[in-house]
Formats: sequence, structure tokens, C-alpha cells
Amino acid sequence: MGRVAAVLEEAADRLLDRLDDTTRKFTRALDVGGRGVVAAKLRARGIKVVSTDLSPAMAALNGGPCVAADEEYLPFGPGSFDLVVASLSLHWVNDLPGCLIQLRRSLAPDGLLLASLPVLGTLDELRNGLAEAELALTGGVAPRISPFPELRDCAALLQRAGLALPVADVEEIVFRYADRLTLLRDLRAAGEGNAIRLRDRRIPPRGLFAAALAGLPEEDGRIRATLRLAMLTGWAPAPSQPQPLARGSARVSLADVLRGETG
Amino acid sequence: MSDTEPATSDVSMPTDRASAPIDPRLLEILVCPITKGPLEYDRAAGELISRRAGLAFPVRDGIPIMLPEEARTLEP
Repeated sequence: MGRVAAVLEEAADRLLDRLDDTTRKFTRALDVGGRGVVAAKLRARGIKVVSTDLSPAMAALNGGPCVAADEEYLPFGPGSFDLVVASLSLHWVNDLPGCLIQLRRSLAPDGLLLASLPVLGTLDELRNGLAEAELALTGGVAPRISPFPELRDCAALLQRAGLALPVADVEEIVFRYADRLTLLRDLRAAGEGNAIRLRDRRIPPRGLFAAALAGLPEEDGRIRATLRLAMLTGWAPAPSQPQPLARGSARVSLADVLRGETG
Repeated sequence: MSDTEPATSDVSMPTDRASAPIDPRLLEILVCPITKGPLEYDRAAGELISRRAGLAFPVRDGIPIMLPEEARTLEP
């Protein structure tokens, strides 16, 4: 944990920035897979926190009340929380739409879901480096970096989960490594190895990682690794939120507005 | 991380793993992860029981383990 704690802290800070942008006061939060980082930040804001993680040991890192649970089988009653925070913890979920629906149900009306997950563009440098090196060595390419969703899919996911006022925007965190192998060690320390079920299980060709790492572009003698995070916000629907007007209730013609004929 | 909340710090040190009590705040919100139905808390056995799912979820060190694969199947 020690090696990657700084990344988790930075990602959590950027996500929780969105809390400070709203005037709403939150009192009961669920922290999903925050690995001891998110719960402390929420408590510092005066919010009571329940933490959940697949691993009981990880859940216990959070200090307060915690539950070992699978994101796909959440054990919380409807309306249990007014805030759900999932910082960098949903990208290993198999059924992401189902998980988001369950999280929405655990929110009280007008409760907020905040989630971050890596999207396309993450680890692009390494992905390209590995593909080029493998192509040169074997004439073929196997997937070695997990697939990531596109940003625009993320907003659609929130909508599909029945969340109102969905917003997905991007934050980029760029790492620079002087020692190339440290990048691979950090990925492993973060538990972010290749978990594709249909991945090539043969031993990678000799020299693949060395060739890929050697081929990565340098800046001032250091290589770049990009973490592109989608920051998702969505609200549990409530009557107090802005609602669309009923169809056919408009009193001004859009055509008139576009011609500039309204007073 | 060294968050000292009175609710957790005044717990008398339990010696038996199963007897560590669940935080009362959790008992108010926990439901069965499969059926989303109510749970019964068997304090002595340290289990949360879902009758409808026929499963008993263990409580270890005060942490409810709400994972179906970790649960004990109840005798019918």
C-alpha cells in the first residue's frame, strides 16, 4: 500500500473536490473500496462513514464501521446513505451497470454518487510500447493492459443506473519514472496487473518487457505514465431537482427563437 | 486513519473473535445481499441470518462478512 498511497490520496482529493463545490451538507456516507484513504477525508469533513471492501482486512483499514461485501451484491437497505463515494474502486467490477443500480438504491432521494475510474487513455504509453515490442518479437499482439471504458460511455452508465443530472468529466494524473521498472512494480503493488480472463497465459516472449520499457518515449530521462480518470457524479432522483417540462407545454416556438423574432 | 471515534474506542476488548459486537449503526442499514430482505443478528453465534436466502453470514472481529461464498447454509 505504501508505494501507491500517494496516488490513491491524489485521486481521492480530486474526486472529493466535487463535494466542496456543492452547498449540500452530507451526513451519512458509504465509502466503497476507499482503502483507508477516502473514509478519513470524509470524516475530516464531518461526515459519518460506513466503509465496504471485498477484503475484510482492507475494510478494517478505515477505522469506523465497516463491512466486507461484493460490489455486485451490496448488503445495504434502500436509502441508507446520502452520499456514496467510490474512488478508483469500480474498475474491477464485472457488472458495472448492475453495481451502479445497487449503489443508487442505497441512496436516499437527492443523495449523491461520486465515483472515479480509469478510462481510455490510461497507460497508453505502456500499452503502445508493449504492442510494438511484441509485434517486433513475435509478429502478433496479445492484450496486456486491461480494456478501459470511454468517457462518453461513463455518462451513459450513470443514466442507465437511473441517476439524475449525470456528469462525467476527466482528470489526468501524469507520473514520471526515472527507473522504468518502478512503473511495473507500482502497478503490481497497486494490484493493477492484467486480469483479463482471456489473456494470453503463455509466458511472455523473452525480453518483451525490457524491449517495451526501453522503447517508451522519454522526457528529461524519465518516462511518462498517464492515469486518465473519469470523475462521475449523479444524483438519486428527487422531486426537488430540476425537472423537464411536460411535452407540448412550451409556449414559445423554437423556430421563432432561432429567427430572433421573440420579444 | 488513526481516527478515534468514541463509538469504536470504548468497546471493551473482545477475546473471542465471534463475540466482537457489530457497530449498531450497521445493524440499522444491513440487509441480505441476495434477497435484500431483513437480517437477524445472532449475537452469541456471531452471525447475521437471512431466513429467505437460507444463509448465515459470519461476523469476524466485528466486521460483517456479507459475501455469499463465505456464508453458512442453514438447515431447512
